[in-house]
Amino acid sequence: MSSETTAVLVRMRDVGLALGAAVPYERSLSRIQLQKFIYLMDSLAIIYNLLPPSVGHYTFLHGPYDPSIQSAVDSLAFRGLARITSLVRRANGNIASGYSLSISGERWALVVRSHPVLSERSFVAETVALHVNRIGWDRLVPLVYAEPTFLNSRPEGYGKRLKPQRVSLSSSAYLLKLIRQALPTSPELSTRSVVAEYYFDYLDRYSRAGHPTAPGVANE
Amino acid sequence: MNSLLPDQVRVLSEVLQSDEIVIAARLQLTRDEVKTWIDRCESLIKASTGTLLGKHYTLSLDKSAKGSKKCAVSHLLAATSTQPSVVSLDLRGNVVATGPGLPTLSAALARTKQGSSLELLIHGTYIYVVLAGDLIGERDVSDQTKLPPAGISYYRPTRQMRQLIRDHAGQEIARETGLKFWADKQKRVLVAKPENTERIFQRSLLTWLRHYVVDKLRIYSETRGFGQDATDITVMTGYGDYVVEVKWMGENENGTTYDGTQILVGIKQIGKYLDNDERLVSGTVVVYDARPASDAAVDMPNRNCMHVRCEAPEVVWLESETPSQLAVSEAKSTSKQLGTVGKPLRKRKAKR
Repeated sequence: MSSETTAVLVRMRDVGLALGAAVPYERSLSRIQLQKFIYLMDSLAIIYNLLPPSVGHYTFLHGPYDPSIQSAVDSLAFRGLARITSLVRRANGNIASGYSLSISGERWALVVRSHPVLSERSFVAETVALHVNRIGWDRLVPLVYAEPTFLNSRPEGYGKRLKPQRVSLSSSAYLLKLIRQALPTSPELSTRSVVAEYYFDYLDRYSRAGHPTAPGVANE
Repeated sequence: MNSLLPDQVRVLSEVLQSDEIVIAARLQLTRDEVKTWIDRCESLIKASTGTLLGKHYTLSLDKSAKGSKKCAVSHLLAATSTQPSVVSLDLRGNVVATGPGLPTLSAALARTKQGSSLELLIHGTYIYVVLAGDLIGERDVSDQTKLPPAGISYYRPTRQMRQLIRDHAGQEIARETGLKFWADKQKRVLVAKPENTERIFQRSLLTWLRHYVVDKLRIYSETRGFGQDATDITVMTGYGDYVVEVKWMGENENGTTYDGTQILVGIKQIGKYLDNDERLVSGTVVVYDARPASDAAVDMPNRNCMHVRCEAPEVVWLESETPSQLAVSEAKSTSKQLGTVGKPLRKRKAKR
């Protein structure tokens, strides 16, 4: 199996978990939102001792982008597991569409979630959905633009590989480490969900504090 | 390797200031419930600042109970009037119960650990947020930039008697607060009525020591018991008594004049007290110097003249000039030394 196929298969799992996590909130995700949602999953995965795919997002026009995600969702739609809604071609030639799980897709996502190996990854998706819902689904893209790995890589131009899980001094992993260090030492008080809540509060506050977001931010 | 940008660090520190996430998660409440409760408590603390005057007390959250009466400043005043208290409030800020409880961090940590509860330990406007046996935050509710109250730095043990005397001189004598000792400040003449000059300084120092000596059992003045000398000030401690002899130098309004020999007189008296009273372990002389500046050179007596347990005397110069007067006199004396007094300033050359 080629590495490209593997990457798409891995992302099919992630797309299933992301769209499944959005179901309780009756949300479909646009192409860009899906990219961003999975990028946040990758960024947060480190606190659940999970690693994102070795080949993931890189900087692109509308923020972090992983072509495997688009291939994965198209593949799921082809197999009837994902539903494409509001498919339109915009004046600038871009295609805007919304994705959600079909009924069979929801059943498949349930099986994926229940697998012990994938349950933690599913929990990451649910955590991202919980906080994005709390902050607002329309804030999903600004949240990603406030993510430190992407924010600090943007000046280097398009095509820069993003590794939010690397504990460099400008990554999400580093930020999460700082949050953990700042919290009380008692494990009862510094749970993973508490760390995640602080992380999303940081992203939300930073994105609202008048810091520059990329021109033409879209939720399409 | 890049690091977080300054604005990222700032936002992170702002986010981490918030205690409500940890509290909500631990007590299984919503963030809004926690925020509302803390906001109510902070409003109450701010409102009670002027009334409680820096008293220490504790507010505790009882999430399962329901009180009927809203907690007001008057309730806190009543609760803290006799002893340090813990006031339990429900989620809506109503009083559930009031009971005794030490307002110390260790006590709050122990209480909250036992009951997995939340307490706000309040020291004036500074609060410590204690949750389930962990200190999770602290801040001043009136000003986020304020640091914890430092306490009064004048509290000292008897063994630092010289520093206690200097603190008193700096805070009370130099500022002339709580006592009037100049009859004529310009001529440096001391008061002698209605009580004698020595008594004025003695009473002021006695009051200071009664406030700030931390290891005192009792402090008294001129109590003459059987076989006891009438010492000026005696500080009783658990490890023996300490005597302070008060003297003054200069002139008072009755025309009485004392010179530098007063230091030696005081030292001799201390020696006598130390020989006569076996409970006295040490002593010192404090001399308030009101002599004119020209006579103010102090000849400290030789150590051989002093009792072996007598400490070096402390001479307190009584300032009679304001800072601006002092500056003028210092400038004059400097000019005199440089020989520039009376000479006109060199004229600037006229421009052609």
